[in-house]
Amino acid sequence: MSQQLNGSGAMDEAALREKITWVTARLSALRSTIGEVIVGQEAVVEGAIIGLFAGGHVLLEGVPGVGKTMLVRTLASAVNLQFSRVQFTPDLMPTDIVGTHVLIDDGRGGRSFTFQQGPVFTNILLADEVNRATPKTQSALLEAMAEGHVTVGRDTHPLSQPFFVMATQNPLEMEGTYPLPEAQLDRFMFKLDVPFPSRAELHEIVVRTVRNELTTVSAVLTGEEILAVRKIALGCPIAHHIVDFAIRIVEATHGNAKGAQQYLRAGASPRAVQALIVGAKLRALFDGRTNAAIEDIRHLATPVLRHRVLLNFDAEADNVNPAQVLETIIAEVDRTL
Amino acid sequence: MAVDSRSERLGATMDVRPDRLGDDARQRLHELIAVLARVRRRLWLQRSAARSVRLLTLAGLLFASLIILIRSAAVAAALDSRVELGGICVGVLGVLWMVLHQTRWRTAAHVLDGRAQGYDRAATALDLAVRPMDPAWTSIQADAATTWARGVDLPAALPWRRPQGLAELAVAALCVVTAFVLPLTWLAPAGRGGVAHAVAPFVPPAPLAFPSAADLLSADALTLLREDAEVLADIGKQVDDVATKRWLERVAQVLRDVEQGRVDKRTALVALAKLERTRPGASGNDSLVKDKPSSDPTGKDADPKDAANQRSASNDAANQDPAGKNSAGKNSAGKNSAGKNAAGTPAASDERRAEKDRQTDRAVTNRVANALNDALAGAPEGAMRDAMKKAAEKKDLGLMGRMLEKLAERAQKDMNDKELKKWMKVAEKFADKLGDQQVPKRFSELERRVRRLQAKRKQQGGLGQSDRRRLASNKRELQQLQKEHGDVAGAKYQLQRLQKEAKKAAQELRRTREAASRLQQQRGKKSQRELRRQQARSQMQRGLREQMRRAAGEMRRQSGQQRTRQAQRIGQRRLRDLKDTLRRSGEKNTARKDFERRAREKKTAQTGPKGRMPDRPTPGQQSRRAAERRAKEKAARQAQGQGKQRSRDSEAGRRGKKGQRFRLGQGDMPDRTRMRMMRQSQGQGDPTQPGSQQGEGSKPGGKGNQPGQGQGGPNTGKRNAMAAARTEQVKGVDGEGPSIKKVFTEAAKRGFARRGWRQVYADYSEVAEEMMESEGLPVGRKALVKRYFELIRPR
Repeated sequence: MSQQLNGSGAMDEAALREKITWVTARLSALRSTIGEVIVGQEAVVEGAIIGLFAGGHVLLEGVPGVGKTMLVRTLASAVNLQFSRVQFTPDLMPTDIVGTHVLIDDGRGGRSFTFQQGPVFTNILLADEVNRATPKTQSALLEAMAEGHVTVGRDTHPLSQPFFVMATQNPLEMEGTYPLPEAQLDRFMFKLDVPFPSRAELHEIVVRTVRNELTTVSAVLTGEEILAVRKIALGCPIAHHIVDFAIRIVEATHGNAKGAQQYLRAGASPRAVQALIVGAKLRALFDGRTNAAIEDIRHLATPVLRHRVLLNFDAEADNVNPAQVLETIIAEVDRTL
Repeated sequence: MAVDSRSERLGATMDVRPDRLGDDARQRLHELIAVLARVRRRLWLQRSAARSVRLLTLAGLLFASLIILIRSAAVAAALDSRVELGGICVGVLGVLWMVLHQTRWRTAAHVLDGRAQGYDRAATALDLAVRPMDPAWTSIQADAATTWARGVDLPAALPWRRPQGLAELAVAALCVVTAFVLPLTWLAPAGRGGVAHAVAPFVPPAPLAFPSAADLLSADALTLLREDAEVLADIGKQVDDVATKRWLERVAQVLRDVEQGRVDKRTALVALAKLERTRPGASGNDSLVKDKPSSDPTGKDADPKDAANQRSASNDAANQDPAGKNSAGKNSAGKNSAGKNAAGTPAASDERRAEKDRQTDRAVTNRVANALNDALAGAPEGAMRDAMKKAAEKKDLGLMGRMLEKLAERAQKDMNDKELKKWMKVAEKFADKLGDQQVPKRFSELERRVRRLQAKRKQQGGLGQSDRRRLASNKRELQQLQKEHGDVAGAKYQLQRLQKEAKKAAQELRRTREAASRLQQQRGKKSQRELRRQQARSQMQRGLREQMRRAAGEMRRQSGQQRTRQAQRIGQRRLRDLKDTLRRSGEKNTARKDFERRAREKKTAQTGPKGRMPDRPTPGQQSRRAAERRAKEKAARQAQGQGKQRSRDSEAGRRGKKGQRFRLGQGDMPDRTRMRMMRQSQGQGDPTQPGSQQGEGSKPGGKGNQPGQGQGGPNTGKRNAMAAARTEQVKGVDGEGPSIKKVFTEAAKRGFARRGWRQVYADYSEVAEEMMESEGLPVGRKALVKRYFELIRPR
């Protein structure tokens, strides 16, 4: 299966059908495995899984205690990948993340500088409270997230694939924080709002967690399989009008959407269109379909664009948030279909 | 099988290439296309029904209209067939368009996906089929789409919907039926040819009546006209000159006609032009200056350059201090500016001419008053001398004449010999003082120069620029001298005769004395001396009375002429104002507004200036300066008072009552006048000496002397005239405008693109930057503040 998955070139229809079926099954299995630990939060779990398979990164925003870190931990356990966690603090330095050269004594009197890898050299990196570190430290992740390698001194060190960063931040406690710069935000495929669980979900959380035995999950996917799923998903064709719809939404974030233009200061980048299309393909596979639909684009538009559109002060004065602006934009683009 | 063959054809039209797809894939795709074909048919039916309803509604309404027109014979019978043919063609084309206008395949796929929750399966399958995609994916997608489409219940997904617009169609059908069955008699008036008349060719409307001139003016302007007409009528009653009196009555009549709307604009303008032409003394004002053009009606001999230079020189002369002796010239600066601003306009020319007249009147009055004042130095002390001195100080010719008459009466009744002799000496001195020895000399010299220059022009066919200027200057000076000399000449002549008569009386007295000596020898000394004294006294009394009366009559005449000229100026000015108003009233609203503005200005001037000068510049300073500039121009143009106006006059304007009468006075500033034009003083005064003004007033036809008394405030002279003419109240208050708080609020509500916000932001951003540099803010907080300022920056 592995060989078949890694095969390149055109596949016959039967093999492709088999792969698609397998991918759908794996995704469903991963989803249910995570669901054993994480109560509710379907959209967040779905976004995290799509981000993992799409090769993107996810920024989780939510109040403390809603399960952000638990979600990342569970995901890392379910895919059997190496996991690192970095607690971002104001005094965290870039070298604390990417690593540094240290002087090593070889025991025979010789000394040499050897690169000591930082926590970024992992498959799944949890950057907890990423906005507490200084912009300098935050920027240390830029290269790793965008290009999959780290440059220290003159040496470039590739990261192992899949490499997936999940960062969390607290929307309430803004004192002593450093908002992520736009360039850093653009590296995140999704920004997922982790909502407060409902009463039923809270009840279930209490039942599951307040006991002696904590629920653990077993790995259902490997890194190779994740890369294979990514390959299949990226090969999934998409209709022209779906791409056109995504482009029109991104275009509309640049101020030509009626009803939203007065609140927009800057729109999304082309990277947003890429994220929308890849996400739509993976969501279709998630759903057992072989084609991305406009509905997928519509569904993913908010998490993809939420952190990419910059609102002006009028929006802040009117208490309008990016999600509301995006709703208006999507409705406007829908109207012009 | 029939469906399969049709799907094949449809697949061919969709460019589904069989060499790229396998048989199974093609078969599935064709099945999908067959489903889509059904969708298209349903959509076509649905949309055709909707279009048919719209088309039928429109056609029904047109048809009903056509039926009405045909039935009412508005459309010629010959056109009926063409109209029918045209209607049929339009209908056929509409049907063809509906038949041929099929729904596109992709549209059908989108509709099916949307209505049956297909998640774009059909549309994606079609898209992949016509694009060079991976055949495996295309086949899988076609399979997925077909599988899904098979399960779609088309009637449920695309139910038949009643087309919109059925109600409108019913209305149109009702219109058609109504058009067929409705009797058309209501459409045609009795005796006419049906509705054809309703759509008959354009009938030109009846010519509109020429708008009344009153329709072109505002209520304020009409009120002004009515008041001016009353004032002119009052003035006319006080003027002695019959021609001027009649002319003023006619002007007042025209004003009343315009005000009451009895004449239209054109008639009013014609009447005004006629009145201007027939103004008494209009042709003789510039007899010397304009002798050349007026002597040649064709204008062929008139040298344009010469005329231009004369005009230019005339303007220059008007700007000079013509007398150089009286205080009237102290305001020449203001008049100069006004003359420059209004140079070249007929109004300015009239104003200059009127100003010259006024200067001449003042010069004459001054000379007579000074002569009398000097002569009174030797007069016997008493009430008569004091009264005459007061009259001389008032500089009122009429009053001086009345005082001379009184003197003559007193000389006849109760004056002793000593007084009689003193008054005789006063009369002699008065006559001497009036006679300026230099005037005839200067007069003859100027006449000689003018003649020489005119002869030079005849010989050389023209003059150089300097000669022309010199000629014009000489003519003006000559004219001035003529006028002054002519006015004084009467009084001087009478006084000279008085002197001669006095000498004759003295000779008679000597002769009587000789005869008396002889008689003394015969009859006795005492009785002879008494007789002689009585005879001499009688002759002196007679001579003095007669001459004083003549001199007084001459002064009255001069005063009357001055009043006549003043009344003519008033009437002329009203004529010009009305003419300008009427002319401009038809041009644009701006002209009318301008007149209305002037009317309001006059009304405002009536209440006196209320503006105050701020201590420091304020936001409204610019507009106030503009208002002051306009006021200066207006004051220089209208207020001919050389700085001598004031409070009592404006008080009179403020408190003017209807019963008050207008009185012409020497100061050209009638007391308690209601006439706005006359509100500006023409008295003389020194603007640099507050409170120096004293007006002279005489009550025409009155018997007693009523010297007027002007009272000046601290602001006199030109400033007073300008203040009286100021029309706008501009109160600039420093800091007026939106407060900073309001600017903030407005910017937050309506956006940051406002001008006030730009200024506030510029001010505060610098402060914020300084604070951020100086204070020990955390880096994150600095970034937040910077981001905040970036968000609220002006756009």
